[in-house]
Amino acid sequence: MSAHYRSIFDIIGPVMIGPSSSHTAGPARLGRVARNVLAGALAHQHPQAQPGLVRATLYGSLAATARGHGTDLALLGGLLGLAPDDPRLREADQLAAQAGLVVQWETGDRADLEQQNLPPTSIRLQVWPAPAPADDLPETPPAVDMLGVSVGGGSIEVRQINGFPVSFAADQPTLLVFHRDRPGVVAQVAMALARAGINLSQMSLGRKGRGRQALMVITTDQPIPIILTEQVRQLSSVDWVAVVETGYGGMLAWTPTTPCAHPSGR
Amino acid sequence: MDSDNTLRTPVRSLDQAVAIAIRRGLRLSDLALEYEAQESGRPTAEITADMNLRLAVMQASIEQGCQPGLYSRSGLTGPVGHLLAERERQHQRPTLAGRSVFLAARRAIAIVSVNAAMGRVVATPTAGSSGIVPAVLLTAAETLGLPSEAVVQALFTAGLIGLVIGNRATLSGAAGGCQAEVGSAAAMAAGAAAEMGGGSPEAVASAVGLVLQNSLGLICDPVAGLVEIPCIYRNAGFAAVALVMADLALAGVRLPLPADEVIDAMGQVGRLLPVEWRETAQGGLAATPTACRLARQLCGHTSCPRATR
Repeated sequence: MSAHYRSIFDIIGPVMIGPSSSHTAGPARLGRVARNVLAGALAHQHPQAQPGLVRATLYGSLAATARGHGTDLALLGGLLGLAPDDPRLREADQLAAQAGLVVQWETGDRADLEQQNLPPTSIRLQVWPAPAPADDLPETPPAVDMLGVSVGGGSIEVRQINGFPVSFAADQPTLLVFHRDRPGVVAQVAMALARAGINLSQMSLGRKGRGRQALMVITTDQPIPIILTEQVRQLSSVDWVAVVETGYGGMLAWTPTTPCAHPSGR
Repeated sequence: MDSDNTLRTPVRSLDQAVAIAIRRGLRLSDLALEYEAQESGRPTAEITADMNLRLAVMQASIEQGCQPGLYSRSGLTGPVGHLLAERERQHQRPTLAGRSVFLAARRAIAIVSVNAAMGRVVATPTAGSSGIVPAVLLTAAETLGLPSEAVVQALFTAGLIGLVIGNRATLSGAAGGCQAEVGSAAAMAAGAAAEMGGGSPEAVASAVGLVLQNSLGLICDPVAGLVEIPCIYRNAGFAAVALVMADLALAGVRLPLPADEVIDAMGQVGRLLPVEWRETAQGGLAATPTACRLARQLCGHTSCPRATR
């Protein structure tokens, strides 16, 4: 099983903060996807919901070398909304503390990974919104329960969201529409996108059972405007909507960073 | 346009790309740029400008990586780029490798040192192997007296080679060992450098095969799980390999094995590598007694196998 790289810039890129594309840039992007999904899930309660508590389960190679590869800082940075090329990733632990974001680190079971046929660079992120609950084990289920893979070279693939099997790379604008399985919902969403002049490049649909919860994953050729997200959110059978950022955000505004000095105290 | 004459996603065959390029009298870089424009729907000028921006990031990393104060975040390595820059200045004692190879090695080391310090780099194709492609291409341009536009162009060739390797085999050390990262980067660099040197599309494919047969089986065994030892030094070594193999290809050396088959061999070797040698820091250099001690000291943990194993 190999990944599908489409763009030359997947190979000559991303521009990123080191030290590892699969163990730093990939996790930063996965963290940001989880943040985006959380914001969508809770948009009806808080206009800008932030992660408060995250249980991060690292599998295989990611767990074995997390600290050395800055995976912890990268995931925190992503959860805080930083792009993979943002130099502030270096101090993401301090930024997280300031933002009141608590992360519990877990090591995943390798057998579990093989059973689900997942690559050795998988991460599960269970996210509860801020403020972080006082006890370590909240009784409520996480608002977002996401499983993603850092496939290498900074590319990612999201494989599960809240129990739905999905498959998207977050390298194009992506719209997640959580809805109830009713006739015509897909047509309504497609029509809203068509009216906005947005072309769909990929679409997948899954449901938990006939007439029950369903999830539409739509990737588009054009950016998805906020007003459109609002329109889709207000459709009668739609529960909530999330827009996933593509994750290469900061690059075009690139400015030289200060040379990285050796660690303090040396 | 006839579908047999353009690249289609997913790009999975370098031999096919070479055949198309020859039929149409194009360089692989032209074909890669055309593919990217088609795939993204963006004008070629915009795509080239985007690549130019990446080249600027690469050049900035090289500059940063030669600063005297640059140490890795762990403190385990540094300031290697500076040491090499100093060595270059000693005119009475010329470098044994010669100017071009030494310069490429120094530039590769500079970039990966910035990476190890959590600085900004362009992953080519990965961060741990990010030194090789920029170092080789910038050095080739200097040796050949080519402008930076030629480097930008060659980066598309390098990207095309990487697309094929990623789609046929893997670019991830966790999946295929160091050969998938450093080996792939050197193959990309050698192919692109061969094109810069005026090589035909076949010469590019030969350079790719020649490099991969040198890197086949290279394991990923980072000491203390850090992207430092051996990563930094392997970037230097394989920058040299890339330049030498590009020269072989330009001299007309051709492998009887098609590049695609060599890439498949790399993928197969990767799948057969035990997990201890795939970026888990549980084998090779990472499992030496000193590496285990360093892991405990630096990271407060060790992922080394227990003594009973």
